[in-house]
Amino acid sequence: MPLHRLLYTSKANLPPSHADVGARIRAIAEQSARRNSEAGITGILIFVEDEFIQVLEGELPAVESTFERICCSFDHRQLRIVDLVRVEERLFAEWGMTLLTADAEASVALRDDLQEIRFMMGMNARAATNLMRKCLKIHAIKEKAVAA
Amino acid sequence: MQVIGCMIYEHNLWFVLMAGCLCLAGTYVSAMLFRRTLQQDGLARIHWSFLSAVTAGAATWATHFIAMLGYETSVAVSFDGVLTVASALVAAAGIGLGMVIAAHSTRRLTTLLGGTAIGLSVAAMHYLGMFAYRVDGIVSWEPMFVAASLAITVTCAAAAILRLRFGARAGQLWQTAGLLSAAIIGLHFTGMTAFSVQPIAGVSQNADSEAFAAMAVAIGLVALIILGVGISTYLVEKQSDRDSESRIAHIALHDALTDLANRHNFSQALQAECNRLNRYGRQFALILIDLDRFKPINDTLGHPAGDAVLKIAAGRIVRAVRTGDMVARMGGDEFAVLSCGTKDSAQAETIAARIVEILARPVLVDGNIVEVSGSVGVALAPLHGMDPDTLIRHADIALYAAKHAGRGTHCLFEPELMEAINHRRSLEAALRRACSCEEFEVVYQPVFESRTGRLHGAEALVRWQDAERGMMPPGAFIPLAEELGLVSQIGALVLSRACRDAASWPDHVCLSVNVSPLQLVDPDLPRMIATALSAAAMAPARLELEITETALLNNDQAALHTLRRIQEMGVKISLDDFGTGYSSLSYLHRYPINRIKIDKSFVQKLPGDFGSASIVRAIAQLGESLELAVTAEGVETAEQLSFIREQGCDHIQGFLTGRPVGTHELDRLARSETIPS
Repeated sequence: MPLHRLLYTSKANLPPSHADVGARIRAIAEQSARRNSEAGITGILIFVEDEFIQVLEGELPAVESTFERICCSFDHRQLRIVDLVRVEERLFAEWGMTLLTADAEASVALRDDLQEIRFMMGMNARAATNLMRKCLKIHAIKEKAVAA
Repeated sequence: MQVIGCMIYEHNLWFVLMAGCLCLAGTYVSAMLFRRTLQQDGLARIHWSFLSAVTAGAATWATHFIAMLGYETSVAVSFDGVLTVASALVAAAGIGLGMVIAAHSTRRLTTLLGGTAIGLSVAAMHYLGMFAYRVDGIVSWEPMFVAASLAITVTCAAAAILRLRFGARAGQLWQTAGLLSAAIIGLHFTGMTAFSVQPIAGVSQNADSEAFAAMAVAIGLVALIILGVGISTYLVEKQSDRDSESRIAHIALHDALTDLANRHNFSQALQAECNRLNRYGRQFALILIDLDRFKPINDTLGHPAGDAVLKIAAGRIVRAVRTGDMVARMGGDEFAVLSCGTKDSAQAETIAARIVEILARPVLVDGNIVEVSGSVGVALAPLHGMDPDTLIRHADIALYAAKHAGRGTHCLFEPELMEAINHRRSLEAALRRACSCEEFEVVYQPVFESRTGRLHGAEALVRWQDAERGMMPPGAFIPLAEELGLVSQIGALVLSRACRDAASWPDHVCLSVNVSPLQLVDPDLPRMIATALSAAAMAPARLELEITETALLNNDQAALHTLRRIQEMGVKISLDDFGTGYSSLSYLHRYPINRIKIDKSFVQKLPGDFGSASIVRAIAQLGESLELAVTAEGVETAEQLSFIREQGCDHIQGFLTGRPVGTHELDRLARSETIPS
């Protein structure tokens, strides 16, 4: 079964109580990570400047059903597919589904990288995806170190 | 009295009680099964008859046998095995036969016959059983009681079957069971009253009552097992019946593809909601949804993909509405929502906006990204209507307005929409009538050579002379004609009439005719032009077709092909309204174009407006260098005319030099010039 990789963006559409947006985003990410691992989906979820950027990679039926579930959520709006491509291998196989947010707790370096990814999205989807992977490699290791 | 005496004094009462209970239970189950038999036909009826006969036979036989074991006599007793078994079989077979007869037709006589057969079978079983009952004594029978027992059993059994077939349903089973029990028990004890044994002197041995009790319990248990099988078969069947009934009901009320409610179901719910509105004043909203651009999905990706999109759309609509709202598929790509708690337009519009938003999201089908969207129309009850018809009509009008507002949007019903739609509908009807009655006139705006001031030709302009609306310019009805697919017909009409008129003019006067973008994609256009020219006997070189840039935007190849064929006929092509649209210069060399016409919006700002002056100058130069003729449109003042002359535009047209006139006036104009004064 060939693998597919989907890249989409959307704007957050969260309730006005702005204080716990970070917690809400993490809850969404945790829930999606759990479901994604059941469906054999890997990828990355980025939240930057009120915008979601997500990569889903896996077998086509799983990608399609996961994307449809995402489409049924009103936690976001203006959902737009940036790229859908058949791929030979996963880029995010090692990480399951990781969340990277540019919130107050994030390091300056991470925030800069996420801004750059957001900027790249409009120009070159493939380059943006590769940048996400690079970013994940650097920052996920750092965050693990912090957690340890 | 004697019968009761026989029951009480000659029988062990525990045995009698056990036999009685068993009999009542058995006949109840039998009645239940037999009622089921009557509802069946074909093979199922035979199966059910068998089951009820076995149950009834077992109950009858067990009643008889247990009661026999309870018969207290001072002599030794034994049972003949073969006859005992035979009596059981006679019971089952005879009762079965009676049931088949009774079930055969609904006539009372047949039923009576069946009941009689059942009564006689019970009697046959009893007396056969009595032959199997061996006593060491002198047996005597009293014929009176034997006859009475037969009368009792036949009467009661026939009454029981009549009750089951024809009586009211309430209490049916218990009453039937009671009558059947009366038949069995009445027969048994009357029969036993007829029976008496005189011990033979010297041979005296009491029956082994303990062994009899054990046997009675064993027979009772076996009979209960048979009854149990009957009951459970009945219940299992009833449950599966109920399941299939609810499955059938589900199928009848739901759409097979999306599993949403179907149109029928929705109509009923809408009617019920309207009734509630009238009774309790409960407000609600009716939302109609139509997918935009759905047909191309079926056409390009196939029907399975289209079905997948419909399923996904259905799921999304369910997510967008409130819990408890009814979502239905009305057919094709149309959906409807009945939103019960929705009270005001703000709430309804929030839901409508959610539906629009969620349907506008891309859909993934088989690795394809499909862009769909939905248009939504909303009507509120009671604000916009109190009955289903009005509400559906008004929501439909709102949906229509949403579609016309550019799709992918929602619209709430307003009375003004209705006026707009009525206006449009009457305009539509009038335009269709105008097409069939050819209520169009063609007028001609003269075009002059800018240097000499001589008449060069004329542009044909269509006017619609409507009885109610008066004279209508093209801008007021051509867009509608394009939408209704009437534009080719109108175009053909104008072309043939203009050619006929132009044929009567002097030969040097050219004719230009506008061609709509929709006509350009019609592969029949070149043939239509050739027909018009030959019918009027007009030289193709005198004809020029005016097209707009929009015609060239989408279908490059088809338009190019059509234009080439037209040009090969000797007809010229001009590009109208140049400078306003995309004005891609690539059109000018890619398409076979002979002339460009500078749009009047630039000409009218001359000579004061610097930008317009530059554009006019540039277009004139472009024409010169590409060897295209250039016409300036909309010349209204002498200053504009002199500016245009300076720039070297070849031709001019506008109110300054000549308003549109009829064909005779144009002919006069042309001839007055050609005749040297």
